Amino acid sequence: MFEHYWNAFATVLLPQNILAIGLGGLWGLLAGALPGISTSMGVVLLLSFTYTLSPMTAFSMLVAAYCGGITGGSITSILFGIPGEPSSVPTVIEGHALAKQGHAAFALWTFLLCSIFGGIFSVLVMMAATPLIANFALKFGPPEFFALTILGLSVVSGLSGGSLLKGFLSCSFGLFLATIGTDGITGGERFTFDTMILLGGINFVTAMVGLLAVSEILIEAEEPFKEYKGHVGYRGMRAEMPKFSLFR
Amino acid sequence: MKKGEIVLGAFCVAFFSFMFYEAVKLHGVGRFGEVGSGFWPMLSLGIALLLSLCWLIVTIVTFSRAKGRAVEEPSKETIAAAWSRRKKVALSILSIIIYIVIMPWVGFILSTLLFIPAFALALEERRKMVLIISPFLITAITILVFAKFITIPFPKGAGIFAAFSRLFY
Repeated sequence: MFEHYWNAFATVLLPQNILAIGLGGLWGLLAGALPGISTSMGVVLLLSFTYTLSPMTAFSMLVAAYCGGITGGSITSILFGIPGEPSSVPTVIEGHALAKQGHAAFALWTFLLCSIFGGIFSVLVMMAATPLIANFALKFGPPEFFALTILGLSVVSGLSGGSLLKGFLSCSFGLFLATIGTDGITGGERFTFDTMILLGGINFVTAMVGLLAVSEILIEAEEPFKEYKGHVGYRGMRAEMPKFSLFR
Repeated sequence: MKKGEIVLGAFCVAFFSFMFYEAVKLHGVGRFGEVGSGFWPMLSLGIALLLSLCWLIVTIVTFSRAKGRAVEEPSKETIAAAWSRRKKVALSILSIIIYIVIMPWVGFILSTLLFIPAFALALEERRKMVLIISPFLITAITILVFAKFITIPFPKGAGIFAAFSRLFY
């Protein structure tokens, strides 16, 4: 089994594959950072450029673009409070709060180091545990999905910060937004008000940009960034690098 | 602040009540023995309505209790600064709304060229170079990346505006 891993490792280290990983990663970072383009859309856009490449180089590029996309989504989350990716919405909570205090470089470093560690660790876990997880995942049915959804909704209590009431109100508003459009089971129209636009429902990225980005712009308009930054001066990227003790 | 919260709470109650009424109309849409189209909207909107009612009551009670206590009057400077900030936010919202409304009629390019300086002025940006150069630069980059490279269909506008937009994408 290990010879397969070794062969894969040696193949990835070929110069053309390293170049493809670099370019794919850069494109992924850009696509992930742009709020309108999701990681999957970035990968799809890159797909047409990979037709002329060898399968191994093409896959390296696409995988790198995916990883770059997931990483890139958090850059705008930290700097502007606008998530580039649905998965980077939680980064807004702490990352952008740090940026507001003038520690944007520290937040970016922490996120980058955690991303690298998390990425490598998850790849190692996937390599070892994929057959087991695949068997377990096949046993997932509607009750398990329902339980998982309830678990997700219950996280609201932890994320709502000051007011639990407002947290649950936002949560139920989000659930209501998800019901807009054509019902997947009965085919009935829900809250479309006879418009064609709402038949397909509200796109998640559109809702995310509308609710998070626009509100953030208005908050910035009322209280500009420089006003709540305080007296913390930028000390340079190297000086802002988090110490190892932080991760222990 | 509390007055604003009361208004927002009242708006939430009105909005969720209307939507709940709309959801009730969906009751019965679907096949026998299945959860119909109205079940999930009624559930989520019912909870939202109850929560917003609770929020409104809590805010009104807190507001009425605080009313009796002596509160330090804010200074004239504080009031002026608060009004200035509110004006800024109101103008920003107004420019965003106008931008969204006119875009389908005049196209993406012209509406963005108008929106960026209007939004910057609303945010009290007064540097002439920024006001002149940024609309052209941002519009050009957006068109290049999104319309040309990713081929996202931006609104072209109608009539002469559509003809103008077709020159670029």
